[in-house]
Amino acid sequence: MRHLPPNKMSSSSRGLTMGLTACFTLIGGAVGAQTTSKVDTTAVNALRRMGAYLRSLKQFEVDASATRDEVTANNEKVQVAGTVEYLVRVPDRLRADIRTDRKQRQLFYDGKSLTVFAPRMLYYATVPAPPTIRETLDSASKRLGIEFPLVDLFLWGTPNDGVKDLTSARYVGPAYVEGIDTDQYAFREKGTDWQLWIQRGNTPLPKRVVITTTSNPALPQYGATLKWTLNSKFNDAEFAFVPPKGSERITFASVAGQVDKGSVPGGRSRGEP
Amino acid sequence: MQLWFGGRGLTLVGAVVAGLLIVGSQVSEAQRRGGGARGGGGIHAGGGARPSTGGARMSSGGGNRVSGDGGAAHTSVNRDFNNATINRTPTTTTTNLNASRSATANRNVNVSNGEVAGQRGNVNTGNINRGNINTGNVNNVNVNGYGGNYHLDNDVDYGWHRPVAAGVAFGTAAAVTSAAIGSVVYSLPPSCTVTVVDGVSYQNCGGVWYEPQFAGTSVEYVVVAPK
Repeated sequence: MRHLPPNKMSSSSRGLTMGLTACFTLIGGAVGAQTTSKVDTTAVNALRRMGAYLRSLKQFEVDASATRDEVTANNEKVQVAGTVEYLVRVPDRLRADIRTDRKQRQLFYDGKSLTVFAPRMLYYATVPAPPTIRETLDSASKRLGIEFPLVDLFLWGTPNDGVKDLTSARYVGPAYVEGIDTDQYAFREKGTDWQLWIQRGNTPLPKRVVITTTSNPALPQYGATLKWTLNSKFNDAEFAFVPPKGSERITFASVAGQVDKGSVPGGRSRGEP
Repeated sequence: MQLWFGGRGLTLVGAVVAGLLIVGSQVSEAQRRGGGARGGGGIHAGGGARPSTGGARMSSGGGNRVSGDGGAAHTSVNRDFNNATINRTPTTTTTNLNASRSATANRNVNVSNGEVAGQRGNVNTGNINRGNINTGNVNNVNVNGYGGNYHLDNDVDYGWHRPVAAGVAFGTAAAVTSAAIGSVVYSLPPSCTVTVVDGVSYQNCGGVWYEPQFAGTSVEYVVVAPK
């Protein structure tokens, strides 16, 4: 109720009016959320500035500590925690080490092929890959059903930054995230509410991301806090997969060694990390 | 707040409380609707068929999870790299869409007004009225991910069924009864033998042959004809 300043309360009748207005606003918010949303240019500009900065990075390491809600058939949320480490060298090297409570995966992109490796199960699958990170992520998603977590990190600052999908964008306020001053923003688009904490200053990096899937009645959330290392030097070997002794090569479902079968397999659990 | 509102504050507070009560009733309505959908099983189907399963937008898997779980949170906001429009898989399940809108609208009240009281109300109704605690989900969730209503994508227990030497098959009957060729399972029965034929690794579990493969980053097993 702080949004009703005292100087507005000049008479009891106005107070009543304001009270009723607040009352109707509450109701309106409940039944017609879209009418009150607004895309604030300050928030959009912050998002774009961060995106431009991300795209200026030629190599980086980012370590994310994340939790993700899974939803049971009974709409009960079950949380899975994990970490993701990305090593990135633009334009054609990427490695992701994914460890959740349940499974471990490593993904290697060396400019020519993409490998998924399950280190505990000692299974791996390798397919030819396009010449850039961007195309590889796209191809992996569409043709193999591989969801790279936080793939936004590679999309912000591009024409596919999703800005045009926003139905609401606003500045929430300053926030201190793991010793770093950030600004918190809240965004909304169809099916998704998301929040972003952007580091202040000349390195506007995303420090935290929270994504609420509002198209799911259980409103599952994914949240990740990110640590950035910008001055790393990576050699090619860090992106190259060498099958460990005892590992076995298997195929991708429905892809069977082909790069493109034109469709994504359905009917099976993806089990994204 | 009370100080600067003075006497008039009472009117305002009263009106707002009334508003909260009304909103509360709407929350309840949303809950009822949601509850009804769940009771009828609609959410289960909807939850599986809708985009939020991580799947639908990009991996498509969410659409038809064999084990019928209700999806998961997206791990990214944007998923389409094409320069064309960002066409996301539309939500096609009407029941689900309505339930989702209700939930979103309720949350919006809290966000736009910053009312802690309202949030409490929402959280309470959201969790307790949904009855998750009492519906026995905990018992239904099979920790090992074998069947039940929640498939755990899990390789933690892999050592249990990845033999290093030829094992003695047991549980054969159970395996055989559910082993139509081409069917997919996410875990193997106990005691399997690894056999490599023409460079392909198979798991022979009591006479049923499985070929492991990645679906996305998950390992699954397809029943194949015995080699």
